[in-house]
Amino acid sequence: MRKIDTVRFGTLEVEKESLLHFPQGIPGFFHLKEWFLVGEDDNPIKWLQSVGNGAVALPVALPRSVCPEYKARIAEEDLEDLGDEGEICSFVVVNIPSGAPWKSTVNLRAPIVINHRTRRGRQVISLNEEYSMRAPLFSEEEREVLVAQVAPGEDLGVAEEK
Amino acid sequence: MLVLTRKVGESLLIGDEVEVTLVEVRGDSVKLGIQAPRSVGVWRKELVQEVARENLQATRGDVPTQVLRWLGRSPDRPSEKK
Repeated sequence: MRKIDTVRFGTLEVEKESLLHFPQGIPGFFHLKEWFLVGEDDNPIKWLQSVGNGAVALPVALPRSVCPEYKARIAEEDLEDLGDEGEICSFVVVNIPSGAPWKSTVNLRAPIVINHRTRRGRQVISLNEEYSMRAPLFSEEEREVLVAQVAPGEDLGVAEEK
Repeated sequence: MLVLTRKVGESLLIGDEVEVTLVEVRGDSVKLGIQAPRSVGVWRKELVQEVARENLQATRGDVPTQVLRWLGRSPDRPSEKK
């Protein structure tokens, strides 16, 4: 067991075998090589929590839960590094702007791919050029309902680039 | 920045573990072959910068219960209503 202090979840005890190794880091966090997944079974959003920096946690989801027909094509070189395809699972990074969840997007182009046997992972850029890094998470109809629930009178629309 | 000239088929060594080979030149594009240890990421710069930006922004987000409910495909997700 290893005690890890995190900003979002307090102090967590994580078994060594549960740690995930990203030898190349993750874009934006190249120096952080050790991560682990936090989340509840019935919660579609999981968090990829950094071990080295307790303040860094990436919200991720299983691709099928946000895009039912999702099928990323991964370059051979990336797959080679990850090992057997039967041992691999993917997550997509979900971007939920604070206070404006209707503007949520999901990065379908660059899934985080993990080999659950070797516990190695990496974020890859898929060959699917049709996949956006900022695909809207909700349809327009859904956004309208969300706005009505969360912040009546707010502007609709997907998060603008900053 | 160091600028070197190479012919097709010739290589560069960066340190003793990274080798970059000029594979082909066609018009204004060059095809490069890169051999590097697994711990060294090789990325198209503009793409990896975009991924990094998305990741950094995602860590600042929060997940309100409404979003969770909808992602869980509960009956109040409008698109699921038939």
